[in-house]
Amino acid sequence: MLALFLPIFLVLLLIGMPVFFAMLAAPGFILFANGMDRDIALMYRNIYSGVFSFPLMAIPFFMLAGELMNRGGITFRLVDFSQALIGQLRGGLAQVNILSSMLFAGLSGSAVADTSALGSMLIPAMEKNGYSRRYAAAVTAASSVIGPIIPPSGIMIIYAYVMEVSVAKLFAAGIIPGILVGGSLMVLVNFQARKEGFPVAGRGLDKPEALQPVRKLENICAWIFAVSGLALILMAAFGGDAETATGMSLYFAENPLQFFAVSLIPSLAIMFGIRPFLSVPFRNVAKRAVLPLLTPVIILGGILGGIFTPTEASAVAAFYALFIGMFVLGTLTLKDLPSIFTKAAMISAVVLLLVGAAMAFKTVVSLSHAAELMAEWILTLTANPLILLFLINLLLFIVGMFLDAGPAIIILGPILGPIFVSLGVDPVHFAMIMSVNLTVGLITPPMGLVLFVASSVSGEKVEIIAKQILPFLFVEMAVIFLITYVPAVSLTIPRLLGL
Amino acid sequence: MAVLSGFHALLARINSTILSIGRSISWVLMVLMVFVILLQVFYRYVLNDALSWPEEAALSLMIWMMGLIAPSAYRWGGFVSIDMLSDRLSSLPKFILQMFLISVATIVTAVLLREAYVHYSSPILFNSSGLNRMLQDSGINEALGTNMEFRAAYIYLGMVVCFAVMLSVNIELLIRKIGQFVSGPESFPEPPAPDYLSAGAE
Repeated sequence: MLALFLPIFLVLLLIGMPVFFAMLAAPGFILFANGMDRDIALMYRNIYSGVFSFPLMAIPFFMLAGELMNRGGITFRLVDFSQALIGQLRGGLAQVNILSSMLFAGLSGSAVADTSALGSMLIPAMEKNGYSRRYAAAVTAASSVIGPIIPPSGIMIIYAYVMEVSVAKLFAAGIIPGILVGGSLMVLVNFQARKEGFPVAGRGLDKPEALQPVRKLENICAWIFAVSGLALILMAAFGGDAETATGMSLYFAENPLQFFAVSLIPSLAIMFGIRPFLSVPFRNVAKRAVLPLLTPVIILGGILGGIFTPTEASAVAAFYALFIGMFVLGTLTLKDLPSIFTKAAMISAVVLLLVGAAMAFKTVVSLSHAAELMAEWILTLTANPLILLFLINLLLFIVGMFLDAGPAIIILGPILGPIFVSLGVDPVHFAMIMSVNLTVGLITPPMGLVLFVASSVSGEKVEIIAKQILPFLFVEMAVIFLITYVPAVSLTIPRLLGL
Repeated sequence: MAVLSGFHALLARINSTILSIGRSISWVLMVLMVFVILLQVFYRYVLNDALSWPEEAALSLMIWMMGLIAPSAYRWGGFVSIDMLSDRLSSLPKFILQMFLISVATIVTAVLLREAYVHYSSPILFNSSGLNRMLQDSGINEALGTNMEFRAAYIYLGMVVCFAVMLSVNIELLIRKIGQFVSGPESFPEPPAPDYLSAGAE
């Protein structure tokens, strides 16, 4: 009886009920009809506790950082830089969008945050470059699912907690699947670009902005950050482990500041070495992009370096974007701030309420045992693991259409995991199947949270993005099957690392 | 119909004023959220003294920020929906569908308001430990000679405000749709959206 809320929810959604209200009205009505008033109160408490979450606070901050970068003209600098790098290719900016998602995946671990941060920056940039808004929104949404696959990943932490699997193993296992999803999307974009004749804007090095010298302060900052960044990369590449290093390596491992100072020398040599090979306009464009490109470096470095939590890193990124826009680039004034903050707050409020409603929705999914009923039904069909894996992918895909990845893992993980482990499937391998499949569910209607966020950020209708995203979805489904039937995709890196 | 039109104009003006105030407070709360989190990072890494209250303070600010601005998003169509069916219907069926959707949204909002109020006025309310610590640590109570306490209910109140204003917006929408269907859009005009809302993702 309780499971009836799913078809009611579907009908409400299809007739145009805002998702927030549909997620509450359908289960609320069924609970009311069954005299379960106390569970309605529980639903409300779950909305509140769903929103009152520190990790979720990264969403408004990422929105804000994106908005500040947009209005501060930073997006255009990134576009110019991307264009200077791969503008001669067809579909260059769409490729940049996917690559950015892969880079952002290393910092946010959330597809929703990726969509909001990258979407508010790259969708207008792609539009400006001649892409349709619907295509830009579809590429952004489709590539954002890489966020929870490449570590760090929120859903993998949930899975590890629920299923008692090592977080480190899951993080290591997610690297190849994440790169595979990104790489496959790039291949598809390349194919689409040739077929559809996506714009070739050229490298844009003859534009007046490219020929104009960079401001002195910006030039100095760009040099400092570029050389420091290169030094950090060298440190990461050649640094030793304090536990196993000997001699000079041990000294540097124990004294990172000295190591950094020494690393600055080869960094400077490299920078001066490559300088003559780069044209003046390209150098100008690159220097203008250094400060914006440092944003993900701050976030990723902060999170992976254990300095910030993702929420703190997102707040630092917002402050950095504000500081750069106001004091270094001079593109933002105090007068611009109220509208920027208000717009970021408004988009965030919609997303926060949606997540809260999803948490309430999850409560009723648990109460009604809808997910378990579906699982039971599929398991009665066959005992062959290969067919079962195919069927389970189908089930996860359907569940992913209605549920967020986190709640779906919490509900289905403990039911399905033990069945497949007993059939000989490696727990880490099954975790990857589940995580990737349910993450892709974030871009499938009718309940694709990323799809809704992409719609909210782009201003394009959900159904239009859903239609445009289909080719990307097929490619991601193909990758899911590759992950399912080739366990080495997930298990190679954990094995190589001895995890 | 003239009475309905007058009531709609009055309600729309009241809502516009409340929403405008809400948006103005909301962006300031967003600034404070960033500030509080940066303060947390600064204290932890520069002063080597992890504060106990910034996380809770920032979350409280976020709840209020959301509560004050979400009704504006709702009023100007910021809540995501699938509009395929409505776009394809003729005048009467479209009106009936819109009435149904807004009525359901109104009922849901009313229930949420009731639950939010119950949550707010619950007898088992705890003082907020982190924010109370801030009141003690900062010396505010000492300086003012007071014994102020920060109650969790102050945070819950943000949700009450959110759903109360959203309910008022729902009633305005309901009246406007009825009025527009009966007398035409001129007698029941749509309230003008703030500039930055019409700008999309630009």
